[in-house]
Amino acid sequence: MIRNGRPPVDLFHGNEHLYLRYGRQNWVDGELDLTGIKLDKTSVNRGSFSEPEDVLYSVANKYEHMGVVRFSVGEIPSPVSKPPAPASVFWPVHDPLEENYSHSEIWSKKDGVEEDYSKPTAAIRTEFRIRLARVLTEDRICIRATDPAGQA
Amino acid sequence: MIFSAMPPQVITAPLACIVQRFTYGPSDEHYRTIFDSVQTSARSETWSSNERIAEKFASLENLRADWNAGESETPNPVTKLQARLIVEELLSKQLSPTAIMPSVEGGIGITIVRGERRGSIEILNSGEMVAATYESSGDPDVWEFESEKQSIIDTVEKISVYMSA
Repeated sequence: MIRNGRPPVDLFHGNEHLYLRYGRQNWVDGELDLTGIKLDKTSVNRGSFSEPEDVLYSVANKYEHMGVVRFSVGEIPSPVSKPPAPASVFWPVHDPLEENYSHSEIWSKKDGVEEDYSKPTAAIRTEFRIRLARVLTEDRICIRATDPAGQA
Repeated sequence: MIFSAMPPQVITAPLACIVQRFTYGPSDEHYRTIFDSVQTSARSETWSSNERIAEKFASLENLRADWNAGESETPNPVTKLQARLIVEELLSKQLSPTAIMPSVEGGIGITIVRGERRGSIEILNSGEMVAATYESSGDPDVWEFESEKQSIIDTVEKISVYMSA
């Protein structure tokens, strides 16, 4: 997991797995609900450089009880359009952290516009999350979330 | 006669509040027994549903600031109020939510599942409100709506029509 001076690897293959953390409270009737997916540079781990359990690694153990699901790079919905807003495109960016070389993010921008990043409209974010959530069913669970997190 | 206007077979849980308003004559034991039976049945179904929803809102109230490993906001008071109004509107259409949950985007999600069909409403702390209807394939129908009463009614009606189609 340690970066150890390694540079980012820009190339992602379509069949490479990405691991996403989730909480049990957002698992609804056999699939991850869209409310369990955060879409603003969504944080994931690359399967090429990590194992599912690495997503839950934390010195402070703050991801206790959370689970991990997997999807492939080719399953990232893109482009997503919701007229009258311009379509948004989505792609993975390898963003290594010192303690997590595999750390990556899903970035977005308006299709055909010269920009590094822009947060999509709420409707486009929802459509993206629905399309991604559809594949995040029981057979995609790598580590099952246990108790609902965060109850006082 | 009470039951000439409200036969037992049409009394369902959402009507329990109406049923409770009726009174009956103490001398009519036959209808009194039937009425008590129906009233108890209807009330227990309503209480069951209401208790379940109350529990979900209670869990939102008890949500710790670090509920998503500290990476998401807890729902703010306005969001929680809007969610309650929307759930009331859903219940008025006999649409009991399958899940009421915090959203990792910062807000509350309300999801209804009926077979293959899903209806979703998300109220975000930012003030954005988005609804969607969808199945396991095909294009989802996604729309943003406003916090005004009529906009909420229209959204719930649209989901109700989709879920019952």
